[in-house]
Amino acid sequence: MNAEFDSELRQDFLVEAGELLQRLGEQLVGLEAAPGDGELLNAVFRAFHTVKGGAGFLALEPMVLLCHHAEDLLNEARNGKVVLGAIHMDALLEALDLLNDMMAAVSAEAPLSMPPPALLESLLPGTRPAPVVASIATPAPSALPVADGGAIDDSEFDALLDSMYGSAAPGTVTPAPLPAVPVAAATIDDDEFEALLDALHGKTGQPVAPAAVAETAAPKPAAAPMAAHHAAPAENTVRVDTARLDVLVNHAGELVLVRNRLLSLAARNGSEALVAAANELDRVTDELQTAVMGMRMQPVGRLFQRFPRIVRDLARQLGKEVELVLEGEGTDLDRSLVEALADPLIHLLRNALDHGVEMPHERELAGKPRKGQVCLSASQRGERIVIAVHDDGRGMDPDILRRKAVEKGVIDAVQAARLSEGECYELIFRPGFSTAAAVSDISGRGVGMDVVKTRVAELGGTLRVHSRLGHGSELELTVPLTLAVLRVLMVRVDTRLLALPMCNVEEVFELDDDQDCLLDGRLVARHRGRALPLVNLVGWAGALAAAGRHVAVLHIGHQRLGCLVHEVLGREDVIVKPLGPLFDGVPGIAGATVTGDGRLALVMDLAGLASDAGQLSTSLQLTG
Amino acid sequence: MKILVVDDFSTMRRIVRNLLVELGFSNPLIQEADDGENALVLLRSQPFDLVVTDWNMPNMTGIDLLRAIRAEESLKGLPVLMVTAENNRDQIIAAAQAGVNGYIVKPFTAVTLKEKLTKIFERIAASGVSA
Repeated sequence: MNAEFDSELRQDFLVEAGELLQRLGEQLVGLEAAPGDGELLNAVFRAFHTVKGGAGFLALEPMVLLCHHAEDLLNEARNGKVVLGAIHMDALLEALDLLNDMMAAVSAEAPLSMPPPALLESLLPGTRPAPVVASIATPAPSALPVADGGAIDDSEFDALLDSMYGSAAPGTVTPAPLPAVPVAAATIDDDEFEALLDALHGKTGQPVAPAAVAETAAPKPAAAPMAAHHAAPAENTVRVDTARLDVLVNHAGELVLVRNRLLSLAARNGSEALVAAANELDRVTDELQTAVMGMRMQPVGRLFQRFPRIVRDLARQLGKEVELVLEGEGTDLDRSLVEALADPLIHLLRNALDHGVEMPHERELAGKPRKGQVCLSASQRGERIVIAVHDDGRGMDPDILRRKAVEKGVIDAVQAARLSEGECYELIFRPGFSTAAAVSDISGRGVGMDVVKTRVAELGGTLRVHSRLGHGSELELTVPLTLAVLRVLMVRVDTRLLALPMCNVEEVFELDDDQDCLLDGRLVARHRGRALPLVNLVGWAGALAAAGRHVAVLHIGHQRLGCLVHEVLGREDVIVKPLGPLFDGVPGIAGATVTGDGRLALVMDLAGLASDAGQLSTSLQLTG
Repeated sequence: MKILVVDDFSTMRRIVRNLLVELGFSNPLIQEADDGENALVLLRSQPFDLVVTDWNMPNMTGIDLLRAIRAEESLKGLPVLMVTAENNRDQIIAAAQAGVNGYIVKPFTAVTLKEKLTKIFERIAASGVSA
């Protein structure tokens, strides 16, 4: 095989075997919980087996060796000769980790080192059973020429065929009953196989199905023979490089922009025919965009399947008993989000295990089952995906949170006293806040919940927390369905156009003359019986005019914020383009886009805006 | 020559396909199926001259596919080359009894594949019955 093919093959292998290994993590944890699940055992066996086969062709010897050991152990388990214990499961999981490391090395074209002998040792089924006689291992007639479970080689196989068929071919003649052919103990070679075929099928040329077939084979009847003849199941999936997919998404995105411009032109001064054509284009573009977006979607289960393993290891490390329940794995999510959410979710799970779920004896004292439950669920709500991490642990105590926050200097005592229960829970997202008295090596790796929250906000998402003391906590992460096209509310501030992400917009209203006032030196509006903090975007956008009287109510995480604007123009789907390195990191701006009439609009990053506005008044985040 | 390559691992189908092409078989005449059941549907819908199948597959394994082929009047003469991960004696004998024409152990090279195929077709030619 040539080098180019080899490299293509390696890519294929990395993708396909990678998927198998990823699933394997979940499967192994499942197998540990249900060692008697034969189907699962088979699936696990097959995964190691398949990876070994592929690795063999790529001459990845260490991988072959490791898979082979795992496969041997699993095969013994399949045959009921060994019961997989904790040591075996640990070894299998360790083997999986090492395989993943090896995959990374293959990807980096780095050389592989041999698996540590200790690991291979621990993959041995313990006391290996003595070689088993054929009556157990082979459901074959006792006249078999070869009776041990060892290897076979070519000449032996030939001899085997010869002994079965003479010189005829299988499938053409009835195989003769097997004579006792003397063969080497553990191997068979080609000649021997040929001999076996001869013996099975004799030297006569009667084209009959082998007798053994008639007796032993129970071929599945074709479910629908008629249909089967018509429907040849060719490959119905195609693997596409994600880069090519991204190009398609970009073009579809550009098309949306042109469509918007054309619609706007047609609406202003188009003939009836142009308007009709523009509307047609509008519809087709929508469909195309939906289809292209659909291609970027991946079930969130792909992300979830790595978690059972993580939870298992973590629970063990903490000495806790935890069951992870997954729900809504079929929920589709933008591909880029699937990867981007991995770290935040791992952190939330760690947090639930570390701070939420109690030690088994504590749970018993509290009248709960020893085994805690952490539920990870995904669901779609409109244009957004909600992923929740729920635990049935100890829950959070608002008073303790208040006290800790004051101790750590996150807020002062006066502020703490003013916090509502819900606001107390939000404290866990404050930088520098950690409820663990001693920073454990699990949740406390210098990464706090504030980092998780920031990361989620960067993805256009929000993070909320609910808790009930003694009953557990829930962290709810909400992200937009897709990152490629943003549905925005276009507003005008003085002469500038701003695009507010629609997912943050709650409502729009016009200020009455006496509706706004200054409270504690801060501009607020009375709205729906609450004080709504107002942000005057005029100054922020560098304009000089008087503040507008229209308010767009935005919710950003737990806070609500009213943006004062001059005009609300309407909804639009836009493609966000980065502003370039010069303006990178300007707080409150996510990028820019071209509007329907060809003007530039800044796309707001509302999480950034909120923190920017928050600096103006430290109480903003708490009173909002 | 029309060949059906059966394996649930697409990387492996690709490997076998490329080795066959390397041996001079026509690429467009090679078809693929991802398990025994789908292979059977294809085999019933059009004529093939050779099946190269993996042993270990979900839904319908290679050995079950082989048995189904041998049990079906229109397919029973079809040469079947079984791909296995190791040359396990019991397995090979079971395959031989089910009517396999040859077996090949992963990983293999084009040269080995050629040897195996040559043997299969020699035996078919010697038996005087066209497959």
